[in-house]
Amino acid sequence: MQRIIVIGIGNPLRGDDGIGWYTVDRLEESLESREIEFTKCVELTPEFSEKISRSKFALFIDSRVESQEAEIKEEHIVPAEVFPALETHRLDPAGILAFSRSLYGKIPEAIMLTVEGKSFEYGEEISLETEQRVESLLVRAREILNDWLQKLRIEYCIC
Amino acid sequence: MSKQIIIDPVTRIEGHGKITIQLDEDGGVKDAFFQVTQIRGFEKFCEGRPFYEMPSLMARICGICPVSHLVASAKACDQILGVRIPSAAEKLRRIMNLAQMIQSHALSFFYLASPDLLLGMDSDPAERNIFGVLKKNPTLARDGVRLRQMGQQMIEWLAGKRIHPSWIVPGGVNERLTVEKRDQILSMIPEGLFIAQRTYDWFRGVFGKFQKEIQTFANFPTLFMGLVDDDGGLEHYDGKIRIMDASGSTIADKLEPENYQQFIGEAVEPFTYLKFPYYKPFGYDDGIYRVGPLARLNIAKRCGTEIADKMLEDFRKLGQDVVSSSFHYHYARLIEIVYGFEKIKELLESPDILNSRIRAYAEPNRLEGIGVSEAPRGTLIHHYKVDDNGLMVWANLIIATGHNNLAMNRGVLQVAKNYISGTKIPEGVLNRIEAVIRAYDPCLSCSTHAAGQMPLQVDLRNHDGEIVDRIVR
Repeated sequence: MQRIIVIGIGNPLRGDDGIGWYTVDRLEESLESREIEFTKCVELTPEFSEKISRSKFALFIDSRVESQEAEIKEEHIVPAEVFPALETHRLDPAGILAFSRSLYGKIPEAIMLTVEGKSFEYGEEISLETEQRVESLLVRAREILNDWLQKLRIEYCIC
Repeated sequence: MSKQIIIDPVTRIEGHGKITIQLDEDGGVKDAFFQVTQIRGFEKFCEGRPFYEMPSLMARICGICPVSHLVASAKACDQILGVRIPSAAEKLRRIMNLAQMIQSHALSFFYLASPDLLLGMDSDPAERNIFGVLKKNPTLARDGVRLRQMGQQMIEWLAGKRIHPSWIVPGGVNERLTVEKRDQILSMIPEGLFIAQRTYDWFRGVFGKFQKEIQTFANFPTLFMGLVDDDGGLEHYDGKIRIMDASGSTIADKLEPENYQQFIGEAVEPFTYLKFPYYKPFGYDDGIYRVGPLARLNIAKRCGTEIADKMLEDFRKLGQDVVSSSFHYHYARLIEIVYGFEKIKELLESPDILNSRIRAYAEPNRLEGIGVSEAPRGTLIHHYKVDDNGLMVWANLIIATGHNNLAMNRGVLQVAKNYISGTKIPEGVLNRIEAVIRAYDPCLSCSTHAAGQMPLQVDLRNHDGEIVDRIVR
C-alpha cells in the first residue's frame, strides 16, 4: 500500500497548465518505490479523498497564474474550514483534505508546490520561459520526497 | 396583470440552465420554459477533419460521459470503414460503457440527488449538498465516492486514463485486456454489488416520504424509447429501438437505429439552444417521449442478470402499466448500477475476452456512418458523412438529454402548477423545480455541446412579459 501520494494537477493540453503533469512524469521516471503513487488529474474531485486518507504524506504540484509571490511557492496544506458547497467537480487541496478527514477520519501531512506559468495557450509543450523554473521545482520536489522517504523509512531507488 | 418567475441558475445539474415561469392574469401558472442558453457547435467544427479523429474529438463534448461519445462515435466510424469489429473488442467496449454508466449514475444519485433525498426538499440550502450528506450519513457519502471511484478506476485500467480515454477506436479497441487487468476489475465486483444493494435498500426505505413529489415530478403519459436486445432485454451498446406508449404497449419495435431520421424529428424553439426531438408519427409535440434509465427499464422485458431482475420486479410495482413519474429515474439508476456490475462480471468471464484480435482495419468503404448506443442519460446518436478522402462533411448528434427536453419542460410546468402560488418562489419550491430537472440528470454541456459557465436563473414574468421576480444562484 502506498504511503506517499504525489498528485500533478492541471490540463496538459493548455501549455504551462500542464506543469503538474510534466513534473510528476519526471519524478516518476527518476524515483522508484512501491510505496509512492504518482497520479495526475485535471481537477481534484472527491474520488481522490480515499487514497489521500490512506497516505502519510501528500504532495500536490500545480501551476499558477502570474503573481507577485516567489517563483516556487511551497505551502503546508491544512483542511479547509468550510466546504465549497457546490463544487463537487473541483476541489482545491485544502478542500480535498477536509473531505478526506470528514469521510475517513484521517489525513496525511500535505505540501503544495506551485510554479508560475507564462503561457496557457493550446499546446502540450511547457513554455521556454517556464522551463527553468520547472527544473527548480523538480529539485525542490525531490528534496521534499527524499525527506519523507527517509522519515517513513521507505525503500526506494533513484533511477 | 400576469407575471413571470425566473430561476437562474438551476443547481446540481451537469451544465447550467434557466427557467422562466409565465403567470396568467390571475397569478396562476400559465406556462414554463427550461432554457439552455449555451452552445459550442461540435457538429460544425468537426467538418473538414478526418473521420478517424471523431471518437477522440467528440469525447471532448463531456467530462462526465466521454465514454458514451467514444462508443457512439466509434460505432459510426465502424460503419464508415464497413467493418464488423471482433467479438472481444465489442465486449470490451461494452464493459467500458457500463463502467462509465456506474460512475455517472453514482455521480447523479449520490452527489446531486441524495441531498434532497436524505435531508429533504425543504432543508437548509446551505447544507443541502454532498457535504451535508457527509455530515448526516457518512456511509452514504462514502458509498457514493467509492462507487464513482470504482467506475472511473475500471475505465482507467481498461483505457489508461479515466477522463477522455482514447482506447476505443474505429474498428475496435487499441489494446487487448490482460489477465492482470481482468482480475483487478473482477476483484471489485463483490464490493460494488454490496454497496449498490445497500444503497438500493436505503432508497427503498426513504422514497415513500416523497409521495407528493412522485405524483407531481413529470408524472404524465409520454412515450418511452430506448435500445433493447434481440429478446427485448435491457441493452446499452447495440440492439434495436423500441418505443412504448404510456399504457405499456409497444407501438414500434425492432426499429433499425440507423433509420432514426424516419421516426425522430427535431424541433427548434427560439428560447433555447437545446433542440426538441419528438416521435415523428405523432408530430410535434404530441410525440413527446422519454429516454434514459426510467425508459430503459420500462421498455425492457428483463435486465438479464440475477439481482437486477429481482429489483426490476419491485420496480414494476411502482406503476400500473408503466412507471411514469420521473422521480423514479433515481430508482432506475440504482438498478442499472447493480446491473452494470453483474453484466461486467459476466462479460469478463467470457472465454474470448482476452483474445488478441481486437481491431478490424480498413480504409473508408462508405461515405456515411451512424452510431447509436445507450449513454447513462439515454439514447445517443452520432451520424457522420464523409467525402471520398474520409474527411467529415456533415455531422448530426442527438444527445440523450435532448430527447428528454419536451418532458423536462412539461415537468417543470407540472411542478410549477402544483407548488407556485403568488409572485414569489419559496426556497423549497425553487428546489423542487430544480429537482424535477435533476431527476433526468441532464447533461447540458453534452446536449448543446456547450462551453463556459451558464448558471441557472428562474424568471417570473407577468402577463405583459415584465419580470416580477428573478432568482439567480
